Amino acid sequence: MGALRAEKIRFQLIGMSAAVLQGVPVVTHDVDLWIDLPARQYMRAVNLALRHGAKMVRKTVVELSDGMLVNFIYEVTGLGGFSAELKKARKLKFHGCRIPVMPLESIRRSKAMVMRPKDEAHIHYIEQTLRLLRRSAK
Amino acid sequence: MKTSLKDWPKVYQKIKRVRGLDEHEKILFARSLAATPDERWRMNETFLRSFGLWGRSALKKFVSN
Repeated sequence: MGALRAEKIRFQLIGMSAAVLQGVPVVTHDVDLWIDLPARQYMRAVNLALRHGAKMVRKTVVELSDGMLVNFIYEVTGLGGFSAELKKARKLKFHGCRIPVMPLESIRRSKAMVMRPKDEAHIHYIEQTLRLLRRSAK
Repeated sequence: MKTSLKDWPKVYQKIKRVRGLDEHEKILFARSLAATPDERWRMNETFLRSFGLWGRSALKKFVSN
């Protein structure tokens, strides 16, 4: 993530990895990074990761040296554009960096638009977490 | 309120009367809500590693991504 910043490539953490960082008690095996580049430039982010010791797993998925899988994403269904969503992002400390993380409400909205079989369970846990966050803030 | 994993009993006290969750779920949520983002990710990673599902090998075992 520091390397993306150094290259001035904007990104934000999205998907269930972003949900986990905000307290949703689920597990996910990869980190989804929404990259502010056109999809045809997907190799820029991959090449950057490879230069930092990552291994390519699939077209947009790399494995970092600690085993973390990173999925580079260029379009997100059901939400506004990258810049609009970035303004709403929460800044959280993760692996020593303060990074933009998509809020739970936006993750829920995107999943509700896509609605794959697993999204129903994810939405349930996101909604429970939002409810409990409101409760524990009192 | 800034908390870390060790503070989960305080969070549990705040959510223990919430309806629709059993005790196990309340403790699960209390731990997850109390933890820092790095602690939350460590719990995720530890859980996956315990099943041999961390890293590239996980992709072979999961049907969907």
